[in-house]
Amino acid sequence: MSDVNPESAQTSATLLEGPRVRQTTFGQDVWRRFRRNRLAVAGAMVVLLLVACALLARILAPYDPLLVQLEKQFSPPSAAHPFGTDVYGRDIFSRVLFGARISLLIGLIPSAISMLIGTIVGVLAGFQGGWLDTLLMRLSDVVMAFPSIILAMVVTYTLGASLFTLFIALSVVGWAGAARVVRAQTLSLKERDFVTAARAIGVTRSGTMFRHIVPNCLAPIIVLLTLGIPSAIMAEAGLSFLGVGAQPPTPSWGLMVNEAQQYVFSAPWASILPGVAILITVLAFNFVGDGLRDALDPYLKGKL
Amino acid sequence: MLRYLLRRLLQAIPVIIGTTFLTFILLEVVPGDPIAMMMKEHIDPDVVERVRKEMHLDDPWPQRYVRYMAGVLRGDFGESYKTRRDVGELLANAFPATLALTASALLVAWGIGIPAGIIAATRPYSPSDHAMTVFALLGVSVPVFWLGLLFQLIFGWKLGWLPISGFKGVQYLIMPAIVLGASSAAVIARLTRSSLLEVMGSDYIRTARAKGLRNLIVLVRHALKNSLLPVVTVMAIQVAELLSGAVITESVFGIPGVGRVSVKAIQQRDFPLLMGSVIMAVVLVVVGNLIADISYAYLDPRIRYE
Repeated sequence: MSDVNPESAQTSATLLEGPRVRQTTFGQDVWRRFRRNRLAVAGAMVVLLLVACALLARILAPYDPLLVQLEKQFSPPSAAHPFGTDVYGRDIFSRVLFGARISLLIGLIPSAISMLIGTIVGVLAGFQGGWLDTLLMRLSDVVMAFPSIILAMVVTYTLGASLFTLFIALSVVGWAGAARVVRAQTLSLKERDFVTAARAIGVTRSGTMFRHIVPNCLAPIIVLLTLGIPSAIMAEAGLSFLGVGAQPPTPSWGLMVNEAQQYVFSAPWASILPGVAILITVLAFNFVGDGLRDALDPYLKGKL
Repeated sequence: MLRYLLRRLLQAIPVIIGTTFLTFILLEVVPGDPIAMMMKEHIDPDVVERVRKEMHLDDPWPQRYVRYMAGVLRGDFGESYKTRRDVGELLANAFPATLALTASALLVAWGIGIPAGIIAATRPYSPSDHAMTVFALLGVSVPVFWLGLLFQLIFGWKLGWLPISGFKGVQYLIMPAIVLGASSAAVIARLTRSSLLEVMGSDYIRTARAKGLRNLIVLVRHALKNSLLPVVTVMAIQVAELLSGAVITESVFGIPGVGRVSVKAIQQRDFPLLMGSVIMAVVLVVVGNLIADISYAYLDPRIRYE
């Protein structure tokens, strides 16, 4: 956790004082380890670039993403249309830029919600134990028995296909795995002395759970959150590709691939390029997630 | 072993009940009248009333759930709202294609993932190890449908090696199996690598080396079996992931499987058809989990006594 300064142990005076230790905070430590991972840093830069694209889409995009120009149908990539145009003559580059907004939002919000649910469920189950633990864990078994796309499709059937439905569907799908991890962590934390001490000085049960146990679960939660983002983006793309996610004319990357797939042999750019955007985004988040996992807690490697 | 098996089987029952129950409730709250959907324009109120009675649509939902599940246990999944065909029969027709697809994808995943992981672990931090890491990260990040389209474009269209879509023989399965298995192969490769590296650092491997055994023997006889234990556990998760991917892969390659049926059921708002395909998917996942647990217990005797 901290570096020993090799010069300090040289004189007997300093020996008596003990080695001088350079203090580093946990955050500095994590940052130092993260920075050393080149792939993770590259991933983080791509993520920042994507965020910039999403925020500045209106300025950066050369065309309105919904502007139909039928006379320009399926123009191959050119200076005027860097990624070409689609079946309605819409500029694919502009649509990809606006699509970054959808993908980032769908990546962040449902993952954050499901982590929140997962943390609460996990800490309650682990700390309270008993019938509540059994009930919550059986519930997470049930959710985990669904292939995620199928459960999201069931929610879609109920609420109708839309982007908003996807937010709910993906929040419902993701919490169970997080609950498992947090519960396991809680079970080992609640036997530790600092928890006993907190209980002894009269901290309430909920105070113990949320002030003492949850902060100690943050490392795996952050890692699960960053790794949850790419899987949510992928799920949105998949569901929109199937036609049960975002609806036309939304510039969702998955939907763009769907709309262009039947023309893949005559106009490959229209389906392949939005797919590349998905690939790069998911890859970047996976790099960051991997790097964060190793930086936050090297012992988690291979476990998450 | 038998007691362990029995306990695991019993544990699967509440999961099946829970999943069907959850699906039933979720689908139950949907607005809209199935009768109106079936009959389209010619709606005679008397007929509607009679059909509602026949289908017990006016009963409270707990009663309908119990009746539905009782039917399922007898193999009766009801009738499709849209085509009025037997759902059990529709699913039975679609099932072989999905099973063939997921099984061959699993084969691809293991066939590529395990050797790749072993090669990477035997030479850690070498160029081949780094190449494996990069391919594995690409593999887990690539959207299934995009890879499918790319394969169709390159191997189906440009090179003309493989049929582009449909399901009329083994050669139709090659592309879909690789496309669907790619991400699982990546996961398995990474896991095999890390787990093998961990085992290779353990004391009994050092003992084996100290006896003067050759590297290859140590690897095959001593290290591999133990390092594949976590890989077996991951199989359980893989089944659910593969089925999710299969829904998309079937759609890309025009394979008439359960995934296609379920997408169609959603688009046509066909409750019995969707309910049936969800049950089928969940049962497959539960069976996959069971197989993984049983093989894990078989490979690692410690599990049985827990």
